[in-house]
Amino acid sequence: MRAVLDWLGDVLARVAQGQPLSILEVGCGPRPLLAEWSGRLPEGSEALVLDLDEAAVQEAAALIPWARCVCADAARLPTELDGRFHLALVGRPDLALRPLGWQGTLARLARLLAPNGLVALIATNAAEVALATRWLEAAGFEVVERRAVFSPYAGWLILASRAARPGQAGPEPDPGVLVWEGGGAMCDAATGRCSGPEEV
Amino acid sequence: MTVAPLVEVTYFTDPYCSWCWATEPMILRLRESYGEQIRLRYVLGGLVRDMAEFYDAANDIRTTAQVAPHWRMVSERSGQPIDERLMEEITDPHFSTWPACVAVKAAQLQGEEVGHRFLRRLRRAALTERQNISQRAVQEALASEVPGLDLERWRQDMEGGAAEDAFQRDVAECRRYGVTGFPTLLFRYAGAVALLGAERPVLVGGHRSFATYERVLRTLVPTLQARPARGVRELLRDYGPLTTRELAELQGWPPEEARHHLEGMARNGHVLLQPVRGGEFWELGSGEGDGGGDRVLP
Repeated sequence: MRAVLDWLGDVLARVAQGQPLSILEVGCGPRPLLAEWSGRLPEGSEALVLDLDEAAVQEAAALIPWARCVCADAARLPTELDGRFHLALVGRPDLALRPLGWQGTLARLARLLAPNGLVALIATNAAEVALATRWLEAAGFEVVERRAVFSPYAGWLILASRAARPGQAGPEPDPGVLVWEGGGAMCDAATGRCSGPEEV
Repeated sequence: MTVAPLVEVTYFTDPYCSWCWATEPMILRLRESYGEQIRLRYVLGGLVRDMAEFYDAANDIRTTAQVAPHWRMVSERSGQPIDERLMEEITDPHFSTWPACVAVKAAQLQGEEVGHRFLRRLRRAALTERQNISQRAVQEALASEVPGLDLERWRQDMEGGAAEDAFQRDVAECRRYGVTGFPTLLFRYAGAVALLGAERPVLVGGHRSFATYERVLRTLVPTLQARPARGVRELLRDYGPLTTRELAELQGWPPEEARHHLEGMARNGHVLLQPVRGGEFWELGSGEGDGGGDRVLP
């Protein structure tokens, strides 16, 4: 989980640059990802946190009372919210179980996000990465980062942008390769980032 | 007797990559500890094709000059000396690391060992001597220093397209494994007998400790035997100048004690100190004897 949180922390910092953020978390479950950033987002930030399970939404609301937690389908959010969000978080979506629902949700995100808005999607395996990539691209996103992690919580991290240059993402993962746990600092040609968690 | 390697280690790298330079001590120790039991092969990934297209969003880096503080940070955190001023001196807005990658491939076409020596020479030149290794004249001068490198053949492979073709194959190999960041190491069991648990190669991303690399090796082949470290003078004879951090890793010295040990050897003339920005190299001295103070146990 640490690798995932480190990555999300980097993404949040990159998007915010000290400015208030508007964040949409889709499929939050009982423990939303945003719970890790309570009190650490720039002042004035707001969050809309969604799940289809009412009980999960209630638990989420107790954890992050500062956010607006709603039992709703992101694909059906009103058009008044279009262009409102800087970042959409999607943690471990059950893509294979609800393919049509998730295609609709990812397509809707393209309108809900502001120009240059980002989708950060956490997937558990390479098959989900392939599905998410295909559906994000069909929705008009460019996948700008695809990173493998070794964690019981997640296997892959995907960052997609509405305004990315083509050819910047990593290639499709090779599901035949095991990825060793943790992460090390590196110089990354795809993202231009030269840093990361340090093991040494 | 030649032993068939049990593990193939593919090292995805770039000569200018600062975190790869930080990982050099661990790579040298892998070579030293496991010798012929592993085969280390280098794949050049091409970190920056054109600086005008490069943007480090996290650090807001758009020009080579902005890379300089990052190099300093890597030096401070890793203990490897780096002279970041090269990045301030390069003014070409289209600076690229690809020509240096191609130059390494030209050397590699003469064998992995020659390729390794030339890559290390290029890294040392760029990161500690402020030499622009993207320039052909600089590459050629450095190639002429590498023992075993056939300079005429290197020139032919640079000019005839063979090195460029080899580099493009490397870039394709990076894509095949999803590798965009350096250093990344891919460990693959290469033994003749099928081994339970070693069927899938293991990808290790980023700058890691030697202990991590060793754990991966032993996960694939638990029976690998680490060799005892060779003496400092023997290492300097084989590799040429080595940094304090590298010798500490190779000798198993705590980093804070390594310099003390080496200064003792320098007093006896066994090694020579060569200060550089951010640290120092040690060269073979003219002092007699290969044992004695050569191997100092921690």
